[in-house]
Amino acid sequence: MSNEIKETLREKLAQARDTLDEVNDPAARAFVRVEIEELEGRLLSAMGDGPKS
Amino acid sequence: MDRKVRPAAGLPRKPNRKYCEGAGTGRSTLHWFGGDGTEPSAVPIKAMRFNARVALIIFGTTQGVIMPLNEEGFVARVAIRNSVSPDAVRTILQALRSGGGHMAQFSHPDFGGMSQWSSGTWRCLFPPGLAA
Repeated sequence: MSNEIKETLREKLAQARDTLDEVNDPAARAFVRVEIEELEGRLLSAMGDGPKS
Repeated sequence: MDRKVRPAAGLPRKPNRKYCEGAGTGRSTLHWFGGDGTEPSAVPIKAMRFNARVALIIFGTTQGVIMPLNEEGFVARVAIRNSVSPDAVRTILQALRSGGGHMAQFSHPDFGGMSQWSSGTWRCLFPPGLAA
């Protein structure tokens, strides 16, 4: 997977973590936690697909 | 409102022209901290200090105190990040509230119809391809 996609996923993950710090509502926090898990999974799989040195 | 107040420590004694209504017209109205010794700036400054003291008591520090994001801001941010409509985010949020933050069941075209989520599992109940 291209570095651009990985970078985008990293940015989204950082934004989601920031959002988690800014919300108090339990439902909204649950939403963002799921989003973070999803993004972490996608980023990990993207890293796994990367070129091996 | 002729009450004289001392300018707060660290603040300039003269008013900043940027914050004067009608600056340059000869009839400016001060609504920033009064360099001419008039009110009304002392109240907001006192309120800010009070908030800082409360934050200090509750959080132990004034650093890291975060302004909570309002719901519309949250919805817009999540919608942009995930490339879905704000309405779709609102639908999930409402479903999550109904499920107490532990489960959600909702239906929205952006997610391909009826879906449900429970503790880390997204499941599409009726994918569009299977719909009659």
